[in-house]
Amino acid sequence: MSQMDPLMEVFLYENSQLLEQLEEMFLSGEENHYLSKDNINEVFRIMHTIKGSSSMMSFDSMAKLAHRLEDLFSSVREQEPPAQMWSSIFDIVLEAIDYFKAQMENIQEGNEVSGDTADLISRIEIIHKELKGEEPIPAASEGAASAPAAQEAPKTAVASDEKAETSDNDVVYKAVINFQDDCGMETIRAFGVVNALKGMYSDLTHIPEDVENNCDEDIADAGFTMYIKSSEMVDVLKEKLEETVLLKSLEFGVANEDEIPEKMKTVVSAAAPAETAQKASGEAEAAKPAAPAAAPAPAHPAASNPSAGGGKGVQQSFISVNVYKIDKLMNLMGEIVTTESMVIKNPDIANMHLENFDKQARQLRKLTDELQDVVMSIRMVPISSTFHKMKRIVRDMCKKVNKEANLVLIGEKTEVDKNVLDALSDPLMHLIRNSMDHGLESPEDREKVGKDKVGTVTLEAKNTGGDIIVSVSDDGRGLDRHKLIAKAQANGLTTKSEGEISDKEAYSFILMPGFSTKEKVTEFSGRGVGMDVVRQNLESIGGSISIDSELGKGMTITMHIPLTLAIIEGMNVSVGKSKLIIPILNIKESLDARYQEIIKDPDGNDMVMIRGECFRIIKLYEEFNIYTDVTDVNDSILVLVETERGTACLMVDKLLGEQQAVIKPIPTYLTKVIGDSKGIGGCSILGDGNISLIIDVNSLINEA
Amino acid sequence: MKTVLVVDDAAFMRVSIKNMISKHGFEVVGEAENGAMAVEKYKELNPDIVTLDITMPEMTGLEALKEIMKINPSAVVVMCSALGQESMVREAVVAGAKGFVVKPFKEDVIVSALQKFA
Repeated sequence: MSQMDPLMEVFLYENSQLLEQLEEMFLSGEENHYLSKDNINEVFRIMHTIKGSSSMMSFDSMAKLAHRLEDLFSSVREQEPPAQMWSSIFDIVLEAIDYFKAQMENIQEGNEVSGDTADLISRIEIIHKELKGEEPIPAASEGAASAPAAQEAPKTAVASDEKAETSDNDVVYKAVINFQDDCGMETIRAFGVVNALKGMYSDLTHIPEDVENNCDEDIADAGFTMYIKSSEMVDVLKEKLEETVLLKSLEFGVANEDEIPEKMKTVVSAAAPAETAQKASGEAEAAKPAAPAAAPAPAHPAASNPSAGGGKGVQQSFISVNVYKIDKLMNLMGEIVTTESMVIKNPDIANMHLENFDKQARQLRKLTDELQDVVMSIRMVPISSTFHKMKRIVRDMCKKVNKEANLVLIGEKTEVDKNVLDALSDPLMHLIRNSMDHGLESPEDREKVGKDKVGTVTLEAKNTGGDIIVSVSDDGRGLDRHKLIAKAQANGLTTKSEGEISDKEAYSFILMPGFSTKEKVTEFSGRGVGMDVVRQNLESIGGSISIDSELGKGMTITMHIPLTLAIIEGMNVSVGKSKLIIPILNIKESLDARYQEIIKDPDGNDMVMIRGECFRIIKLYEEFNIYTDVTDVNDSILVLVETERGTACLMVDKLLGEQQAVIKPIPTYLTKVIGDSKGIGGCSILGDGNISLIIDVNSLINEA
Repeated sequence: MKTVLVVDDAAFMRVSIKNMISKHGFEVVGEAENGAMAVEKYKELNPDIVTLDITMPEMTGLEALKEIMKINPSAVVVMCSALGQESMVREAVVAGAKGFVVKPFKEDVIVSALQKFA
């Protein structure tokens, strides 16, 4: 992104926003089988913009497709299509949106714009023809449609201009104008030249004679020749002509007598065109009402469009910033936090009593905290954009698998880190597809078991302090525990017997790689497809996934995602010579083991009783194979940690203090050694320059 | 240096035009994204040249052109049009647009169109 041409960035940014807007409009329009007049105008305008931008960037295939759609919608807004046509229009536009999006991605990744639009275009044309065929007077594309009407108006202008009084001093001049190559619309340029001479001539003839109808090529090839009968000075006329925009060359001089067209030679003939002009102006009056009908249409944006509508005041208080810059800001923030603790906890001053230094250091800490909050909040975006994309998935899946479903969105205003949001999109899509494909029953089956034949898929997001919880639930058939376990045993994923396996464990089999097999015989086999990928995606952003289900009633997949990825409040603890960080968010309390009641369970595992409740002790030195002198629980410190997966005590040697930890991923060359190490969530640089591992409490508790 | 007001509803086009012309001695003093804003900005900035897109929300380029011509009958307005809008361009020429360029245009085209007025 960083090296991308800023122009290209604007192109991508603006057009993807337009496409989103368009898609949303169509999806809601499809529900009502109708687009409002405003929306139609908006579609037209968006297509027009995409056409313009794409052609400027020489993305011809995109420009062409947009042009066709623009044409189509120009007809649509003149003539409401019949109800049955809407569905094919919706389909084709959504497909076109997909095409545009795919191309934008291509462009973003530095690839060529590819893909064949011929099929799309020909289908658009078929629809367009069908639409026009409804009406004997074809409502053609914008240019063509408004041309017959609007073109009359200018005619009046040329012809009815007060021509200068014919006088004896009139001289006939000849002017040959050539416009710049490829300047486009030469006919109108010629028309403009004539228009500009208004009132300066008593008669004027030009070749080609007809500048009302398109003769671009003739003018481009042979130039535009005028014979001007005028009493003006040569210089005045010449100057006027030279003002012509995009003028390549101008030959100007007094015309040779034999060149002058016959009709200009006598004054009488000059009257004739004037009469026709009168007539033309009459026609123009009649045609006028038709012209504005076509013209102002794009002037009014859909009221639903906040960026163009009334929200002007609001809009101006926003700027759009490259994500790259914000990422960089975030990284810098992390560095500052690290450096800050390096300075404040510098070993050189560790044992000094520095009152003033401490005061200032506290102030610094306060400010960096605040700064950090601000930086974080910049990165927060509402989850709604991703949620709304899912509408499309549901719609497409409904058609594909012949099911009916409603998508219910809850909590779409929940804000998450931009990076988290990006990483969330694919897993969500996958889960929704799974729910649609495998979760929901067919409408017939649903009716058989007494459910509403339209299924419901619910997408919910909520904020629980440090975590965002996003859940996807459906009211479909749910997971069958017995079948899952049988399958898992058959695939060698578990050695436990059915009685030993909890429901949660049984459901979590579908997240395991290798659970799904190619043979798609059983009803749930498809569930495993890609579920392990979903899990991996989530874990890459520090999230976790859990599944709940009730047979016959549906299932819910819940994802816990950290609100932000970068900086956590941590408790620094030591085990042997190693320093570890436990996220403060997980810590309920820390206890001195000496004063606790330590008991052993039948397997000989240490447990601790805290206020009448029994907790498992996880010995970190055992877990991570660290050599330490503190191996007796009674000499240790116990840190009670809690996650949604359960509660446990972590046994550590010592508490070292609180610390802001900037989470860095463990470098890949290390993950190869320690594997997909359970229990480690990342690493962080300590104030004294040491590296400390951050404990992933979730996976520790899960594993044991 | 000639001052220019760039009017287009597409930010992309505004940036493009700005990039193209500012290299050639034009100073873009303002941008507007619809006709109504264009008229406002025209009054406020009184630029030497206006580039005006035709298809825009709120107020089209044509309407804006007419408003601007009312404010200053000798205003220099160059329309930015696309193929298919011939009739509107024609109307714009009649209404007093000093010239027009056709999208997609290259740098030299818009620059030489504006240099007429430099």
